[in-house]
Amino acid sequence: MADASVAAVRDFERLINEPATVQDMAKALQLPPGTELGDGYFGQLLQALPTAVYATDAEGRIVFYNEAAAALWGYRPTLGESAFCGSWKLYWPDGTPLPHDECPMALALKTKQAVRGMEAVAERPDGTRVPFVPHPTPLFDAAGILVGAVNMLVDISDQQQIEQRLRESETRYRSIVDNVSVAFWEEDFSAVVEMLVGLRAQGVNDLHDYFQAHPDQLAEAIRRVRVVDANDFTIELFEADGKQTLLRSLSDVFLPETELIFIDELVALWEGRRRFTGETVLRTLKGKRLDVMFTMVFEGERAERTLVSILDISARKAAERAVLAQTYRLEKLNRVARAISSDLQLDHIVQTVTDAATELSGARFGAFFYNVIDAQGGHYQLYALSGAPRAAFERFGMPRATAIFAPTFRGTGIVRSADIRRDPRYGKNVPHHGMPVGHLPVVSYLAVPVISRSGEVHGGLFFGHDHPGVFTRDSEDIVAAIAAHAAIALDNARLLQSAQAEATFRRRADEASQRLAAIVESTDDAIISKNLDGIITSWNRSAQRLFGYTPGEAIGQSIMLLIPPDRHDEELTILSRIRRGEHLDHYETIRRRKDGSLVEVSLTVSPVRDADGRIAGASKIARDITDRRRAEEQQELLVREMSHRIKNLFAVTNSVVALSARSARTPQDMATAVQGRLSALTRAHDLVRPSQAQQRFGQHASLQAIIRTTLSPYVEAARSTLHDRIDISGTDVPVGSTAITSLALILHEFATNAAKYGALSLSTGSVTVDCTVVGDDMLMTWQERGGPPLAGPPESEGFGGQLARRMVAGQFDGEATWDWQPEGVVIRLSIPLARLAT
Amino acid sequence: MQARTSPSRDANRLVGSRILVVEDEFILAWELERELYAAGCASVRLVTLVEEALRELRFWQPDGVLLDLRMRDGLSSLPVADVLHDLGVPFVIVTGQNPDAVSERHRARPFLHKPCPTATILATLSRIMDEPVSTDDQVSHQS
Repeated sequence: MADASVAAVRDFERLINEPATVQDMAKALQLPPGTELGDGYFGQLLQALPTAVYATDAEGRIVFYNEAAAALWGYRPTLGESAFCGSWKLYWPDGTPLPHDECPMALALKTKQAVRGMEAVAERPDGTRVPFVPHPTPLFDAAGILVGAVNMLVDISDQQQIEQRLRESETRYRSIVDNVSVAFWEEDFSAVVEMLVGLRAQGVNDLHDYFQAHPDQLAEAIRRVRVVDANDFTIELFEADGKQTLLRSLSDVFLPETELIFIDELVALWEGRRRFTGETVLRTLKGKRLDVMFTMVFEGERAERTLVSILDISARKAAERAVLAQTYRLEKLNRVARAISSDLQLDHIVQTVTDAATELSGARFGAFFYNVIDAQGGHYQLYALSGAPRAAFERFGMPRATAIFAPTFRGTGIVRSADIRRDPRYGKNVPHHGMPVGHLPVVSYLAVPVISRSGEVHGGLFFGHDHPGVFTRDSEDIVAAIAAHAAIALDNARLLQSAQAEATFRRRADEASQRLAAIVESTDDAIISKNLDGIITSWNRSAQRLFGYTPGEAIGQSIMLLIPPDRHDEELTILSRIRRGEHLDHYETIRRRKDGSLVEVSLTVSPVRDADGRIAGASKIARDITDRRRAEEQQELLVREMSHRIKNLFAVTNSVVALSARSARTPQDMATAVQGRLSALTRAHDLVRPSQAQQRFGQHASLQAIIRTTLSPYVEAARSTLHDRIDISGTDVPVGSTAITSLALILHEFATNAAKYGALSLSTGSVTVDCTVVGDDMLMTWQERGGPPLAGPPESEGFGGQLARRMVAGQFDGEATWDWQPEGVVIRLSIPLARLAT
Repeated sequence: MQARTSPSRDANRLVGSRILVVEDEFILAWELERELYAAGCASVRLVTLVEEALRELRFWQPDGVLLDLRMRDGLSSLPVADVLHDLGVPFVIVTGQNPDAVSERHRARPFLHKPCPTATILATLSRIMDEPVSTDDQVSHQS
């Protein structure tokens, strides 16, 4: 709009200054007042102008105004009446009222000069105000007489607004500049530029190299920077007394590190760059170090107006350093966490944790105590130590659940004290009531429990320092974080331990079960297991041997397979007892083999329980007792046999005594007779010992042996001379036990007789006994010689003779004959072999 | 020299009786024979085999029998007991065996365990016998 106005003004001035048109204008303006302009070209032109145009006569009465003027004024003045200006009210720009007759138009009329460069403000009837620039220009006729004036009012509302905003922003800017914590410098780098030009002319290529080589030149460059101005904050920031001290020289605020970046600035200038940003360090006039971030703008041809804004980032830098430190710690924490998460060895974990936590908490020494509960209710084992030798702790035994240690070992909370000596929980317990003498000096104290995910307290981390207040909230947090990781790692290590223990247990259980399986397989006893439905579930080798079924044939079948039909109800009894949890021991019964044959067995049946303790089946051990049975039966028979024989012998003895009593004349005789007879019987029966190897009924002795043994006392007696006086010869036949008694008694009679009356009564006498088998009979010949001569048969048969005769006939159904020869008697016995054999 | 006990009143029934002794140990049988005769028996026969006993019983019925259970070769004399039972002849079992060796049928018979004093044997025999009715070698049916 402003441009349009300017253009309009130019057109208008040209319009009114060109001679050709002035006449027309004058003519137009000589019209009587109140007459509106006609459709003339210029009239249209004026109406068309977007700018307010109006004209007055020489007295200042408005003779013409265009629509734009009416719009500006907000008012249509009456032609010929309003003075100098059609606006309702006028003001100077500063707001003071401007009387109409003092307005620029009035002035132009009065002075007959165009007035330019003035501003005013029109107020409309509705109160709105319009700032404008008037261009009043007097008009003259051909004679040079003033006829009136024309004025163009250029609305500068927009322009004013812009200016206002600019002023405001400038103000704002100023206030920012003055109030923000940014230091603003204005510097003049022209002298520096001059120097650089000179260096270039010298052929310098690399400023860095040059200034490294010529530090004095660098100092010169710095000195050449002229500080023109600085804002208030700069004074504050740089701790200057006033602006003047600051404006002296840049080098007052430079630190050695700053010089490097200064060279970079020069390089930017050198390369024609207009902006430069960077971070560096400066110093205040009082020597404090400042970390700053700055921006430089090189304005002007020779950078004579260089603007520098400097932001103090010391706090930020400090924060960064703190963050770095924190990052380091978090890094460390992360590394620790990773290290222990993959570590499954308890002692590694604990040592790593203790070392890391001691370092990160800032402690002088740290310790990890493992939680071990003893009978006294709290006994803690020192496990890992950092920063002090073990000996320093070991002398004092384990810390117990005292007031100061309790929260840690119970896992109730973290204890942090800036000075443990002043803590009310401290010093309450025996035996030390505080710190044991010689204990590591602890003033700052931090204790963090290590708690398992299950809630169980693994133990505690303890840190100490001999300075007070070493442990901060931060230390607490970081140690708590480590403790949390440690707890997990310990849980895992423990899990691994128990998993390993379980694996070992399993392996041992497997080995045990394999050994058991081997035992079951190798035993001679048949071992069979069955479930509660009586189905065979296992079958060892001996079961196969005993019953004939292979495991494939037996497993899965009912146990009834082995039970003879008449004993089927046995199984029900057995099962019901098993179900009640009872055992069966040495239950003797009969079972059936695969081939159908029966076998006597002894069963031991035990219930088998599953993992939950419920009875799931039974295990049977079956022993083939056939052999044992047979042996038992044999033994039974043997015992009966023995019993019978013994009783028999006693009965026989009784009879022997009785008949000895009958035939003896004196008690002495009787005794001798009994003794002799019994002795013969004993010796004879001694030849037959019961043995299972021999025939079941009846044991045998040899005839020859019986003869020999019965006669042995006499043989002994007969040895007194040079030759044997009793000679036994002939065939040998077996003699059964029943026959032995009789045979022994008979032979004993013969011998006794011979000893008393016959051949054996003299030392010259002798006896021969000879046996031969003739047909079915055994013939024994007893021949005596050399005894007292015999005249013939005795008058009556002696007892011995009677006994012999009766016995041979009664026991054996045989015969005995006595032949009384003069040399001695010859007795002939004939006994059927069959009778002898039993 | 003889030691002799007087027979009791019961032994009186032995007088004039015919007795069969079934015993495979002859010396014992001989002893019994002596004592039976001394007690007044008219006739005593001794057999040492089961078959011998059965043969005798076909032709001769005694008034009483002394029966040893276990005979030669382990043979049991129970068949003899059966025959005696059928004949109604009283008998005493004299044996070294246990009573359970006796079959059910003859469990009620008098049982004497060897060794047993001869007097006891005779007394038991006499007790179970009726008065002898007939003389030697006559088969008589005992009621």
